[in-house]
Amino acid sequence: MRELRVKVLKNLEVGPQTYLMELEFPFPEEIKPGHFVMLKGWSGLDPMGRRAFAIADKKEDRISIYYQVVGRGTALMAKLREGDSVEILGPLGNRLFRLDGQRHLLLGGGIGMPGLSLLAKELKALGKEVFVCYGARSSSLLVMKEWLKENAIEHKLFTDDGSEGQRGSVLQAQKDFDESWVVHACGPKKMLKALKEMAEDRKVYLSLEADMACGWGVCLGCVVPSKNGKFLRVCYEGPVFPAEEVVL
Amino acid sequence: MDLSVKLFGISFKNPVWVASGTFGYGLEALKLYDVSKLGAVVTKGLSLKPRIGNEPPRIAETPCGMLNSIGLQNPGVEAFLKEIYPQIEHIDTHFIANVFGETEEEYLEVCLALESAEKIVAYELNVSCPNVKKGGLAFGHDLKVLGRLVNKIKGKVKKPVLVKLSPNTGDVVLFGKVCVDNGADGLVAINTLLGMKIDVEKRTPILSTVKGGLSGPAILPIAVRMVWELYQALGASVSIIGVGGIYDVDSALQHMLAGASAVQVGTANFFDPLSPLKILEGIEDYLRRHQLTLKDLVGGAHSEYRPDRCPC
Repeated sequence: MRELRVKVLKNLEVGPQTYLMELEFPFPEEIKPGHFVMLKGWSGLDPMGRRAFAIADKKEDRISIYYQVVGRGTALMAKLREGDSVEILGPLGNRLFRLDGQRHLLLGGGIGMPGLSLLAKELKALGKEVFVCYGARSSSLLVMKEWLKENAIEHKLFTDDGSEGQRGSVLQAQKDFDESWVVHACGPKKMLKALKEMAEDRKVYLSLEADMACGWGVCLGCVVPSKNGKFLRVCYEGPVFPAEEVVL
Repeated sequence: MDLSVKLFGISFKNPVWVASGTFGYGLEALKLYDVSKLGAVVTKGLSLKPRIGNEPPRIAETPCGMLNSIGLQNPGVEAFLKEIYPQIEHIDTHFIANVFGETEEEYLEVCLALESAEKIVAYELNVSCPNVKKGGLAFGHDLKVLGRLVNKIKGKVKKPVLVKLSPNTGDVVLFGKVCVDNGADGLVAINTLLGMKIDVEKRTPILSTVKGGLSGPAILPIAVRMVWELYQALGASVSIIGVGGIYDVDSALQHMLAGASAVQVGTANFFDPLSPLKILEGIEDYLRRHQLTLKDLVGGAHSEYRPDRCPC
């Protein structure tokens, strides 16, 4: 966990209200699939808090994140230019993706896909079998499809409106992969909840998203209920959880 | 520069502490910096029994601040002593246990359980907790109840007792005075202000508990005013610890100039985790520039006070 002020290397609109930001990060060896950063790209106290973003990729001394403009913080981030600096804290998260097992099915829903891309890349580098099912509401929101091609990750696209790939949800693909495949998923809560219910009999890992004030375990704001009636911190006991461990 | 400060018979290495509920039990931050640089760590609130806390959503951002309704989630004092305490024992600074209960007896039992834990040098009573025997009214919102609580604990424990005052009462000085009259060694001002936020698209309150505690820079002027009032009325007889809205050296100095002998950095730990260290450096720099000592700072703005002027 490091506290850094780093330069924005790229901040591109890659889809409707969706951006790809590349940032300096001089310690790439510290980043593992599942890690995230807390980022603040504006000065002043309003908005006050940093925002949490999955680390979507790392290359040499840079990392990339994807974000959607959903509020005032992300709207300010969208205005950042190359050379501007931002504050980041990271890498964060203690329970990360497990890379053991030979076959891995990754289910990415919308802006959840950047939570899985580094995992796909690392698994492939380890010589594992990787298949990605990537879905979004509509074709223009499949902002990582080029990335998947560039990195030669085997994948299939899905859209709710049928504008690209198969019409429907990534969840339907899950049944086509037998239990020798470990499932990793990241996406809207509704999708993860449905997956948890339909895939009770197989190994599923979920990377969760939550509003966070600190990102490093002390505010207790980002909790998710566990199966044994406790609250777990998404930032600290997660962000990756075995599906059976959490109540969504 | 020597920034040490002696309060209620204990020597602290400096006056910059971290506030309860914003720093866990000090373990998480070890990955980021040397926690022993802090003057003290005030622990997350401890109760007799474990508490799971409130359902999410527990937090909501507000202008220059945030609301929280964590619900005092904690493992309970027994698990703290068994599992967490051995890990903090080697951290070379003082710890202050923030303590709460649903009854007077619970407060007392938690304090007594911590009496032999050397690392814990004092207790900070969170009196914003609902009193079960009084229909849920907070201990700190009833003068008689508050006085009795402080009296009972002071009569039974050896370590200094600080009371973290609620700002959600009519007059913070009345409540501070009752604590001092009953033997409190220090007053910590202030706890969070009760607030709420509504999601206008859904037309519902955001927090699961509807209302929550407002913290962050938004509450700084209120906290400074309350520290000022407490110092004016009680500064001669009790140490005041300032908390509320501190996020940089200027806000920390305002608390001290109003009358705080030490300050606690709270919500700023979330959005700027290194802020306590920056504040510490900033205070040193300020003292050097103005050729002042820490003692000069505490209450240092009061000479300018003009009681004849109406504040409104």
